[in-house]
Amino acid sequence: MIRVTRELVLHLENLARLELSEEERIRLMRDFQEILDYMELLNEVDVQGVEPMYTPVEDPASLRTSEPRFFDGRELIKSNFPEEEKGHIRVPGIHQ
Amino acid sequence: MDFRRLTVEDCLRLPREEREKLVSLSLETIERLDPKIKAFISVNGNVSFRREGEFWGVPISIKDNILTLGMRTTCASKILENYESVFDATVVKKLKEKGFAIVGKVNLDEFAMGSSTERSAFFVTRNPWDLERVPGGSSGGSAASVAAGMVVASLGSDTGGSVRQPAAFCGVVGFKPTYGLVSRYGLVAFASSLDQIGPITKTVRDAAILMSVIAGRDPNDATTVERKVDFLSGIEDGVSGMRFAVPEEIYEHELEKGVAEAFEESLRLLERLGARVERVRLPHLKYSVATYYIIAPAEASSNLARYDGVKYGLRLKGTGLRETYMKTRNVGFGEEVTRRIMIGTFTLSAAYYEAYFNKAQRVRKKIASELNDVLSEYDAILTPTSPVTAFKIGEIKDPLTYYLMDIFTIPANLAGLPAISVPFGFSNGLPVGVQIMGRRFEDGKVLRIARAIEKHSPYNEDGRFPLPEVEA
Repeated sequence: MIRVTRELVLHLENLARLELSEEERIRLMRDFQEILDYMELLNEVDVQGVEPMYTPVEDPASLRTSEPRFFDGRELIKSNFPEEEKGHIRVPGIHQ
Repeated sequence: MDFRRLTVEDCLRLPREEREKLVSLSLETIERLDPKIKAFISVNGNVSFRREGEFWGVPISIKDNILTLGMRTTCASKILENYESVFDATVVKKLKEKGFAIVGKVNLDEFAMGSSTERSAFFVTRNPWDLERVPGGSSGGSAASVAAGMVVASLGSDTGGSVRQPAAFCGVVGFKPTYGLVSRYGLVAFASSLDQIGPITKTVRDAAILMSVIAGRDPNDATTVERKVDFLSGIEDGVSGMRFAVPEEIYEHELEKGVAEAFEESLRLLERLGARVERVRLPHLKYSVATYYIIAPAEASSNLARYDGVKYGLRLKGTGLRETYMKTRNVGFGEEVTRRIMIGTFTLSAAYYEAYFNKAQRVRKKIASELNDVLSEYDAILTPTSPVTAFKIGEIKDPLTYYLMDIFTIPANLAGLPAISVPFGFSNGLPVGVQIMGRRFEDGKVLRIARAIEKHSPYNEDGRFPLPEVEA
């Protein structure tokens, strides 16, 4: 049985690049504990020798050949940039 | 001509001058009724359509997580509030090629995570049968826009029941195709191994018609398959001689009385039409919700990692990149999306991956095998679509209670099966949906069974479920 602790939630926030307020964190801990307790149900199932099913598709996906193509909507992509400088995306400094 | 009641098929029979008016009739109806229903996030007042293609001028709405050129695609999230679609999703491209007119983009639970459309970051959509109640979700805007008669049909997406459950709550038809039949290119990914786009329509025949337009292998979606499926030609053939399985386990679940009664009545109807209905055991059904709520959030936490304020969408500046990510995501995502990202981050994290994520994928295999075993002996599995009818806005607060309502719709997504919700009768004046689940790629048969119920239901007039009256 997993106990949802404040440390665990802080660790997950860091991994998910989220930062909850203390109030949100407390609420999440409670809901999360309830959900994880419910998931204990799966301990009843014997999965010895059962392969995981990552997709319902039976056959291996056939991939298209890797050929560079021009994309028609380049201006639209640029119009979605949060911040632009001379046709490039401007981003905050990585080392700040 | 009563625009609100028109089906896709009705539109095809209209003389040219009437057909010309469909788009403006749709826009007028939206203007009149949507202030009450609140289904639309964006309306395209200047929708252009060519007068060519079999379905020219037929107005349709699109769930706002499917890219549509010329309009925003917001996913009902603050993080994409101003995001302009950069291409047409394959399904949208196909609709446009056939002449459909896309009049607007409709509301959903943020990133399709929810069953009531209450979790849209913008506003709550209302059920046209009772404005105090939810339309279901996550494709609540799609179902409400069709049931209110503001559009002729809609496309939604279904990850754990998000097309079928709102269709049931609003008294319309919702079809989730076999996984792999419809391209997901241009559908904003939630849980990629479960997501499938499907039609929401006023009749079963319309669902089949839309399927023949949108289905097909797409080089831009490697999970689509090369497979010809006939949706329409056998649709009137009836159910005589068919055998249906009803899982005993559904009666162990708390079923609303009126839902249980309507469901039983639909079974008696199918027997009268020459089918055999038998009870079966599906002992793994009860693990579906737990399995789903491990797999779907895991895939979601990975898919939603791309919303970081760098390339598009909301950006809230912090000191440096890391703080920018954090601020953007904190403000951009709503509570339910945050909860699921956190659950998914947990089940995918190194320490818990085997015990949760991989375990759930193995249980998924067992659930799928069990369903396929039953379907090797029966033509379809029947259940109510939802254990309840539309509930009141704000009524359900606890996340687990909310998740457990998906019990009957989730299995089809886990196993990639086709499943439909067809309206049948009422419980306390609210529509009830019956779900039919079939073998992979037997989408045609699922539609045929649904059509038999629709055609002979005592609640229907001329084989059509009634539409609600909505006061402007």
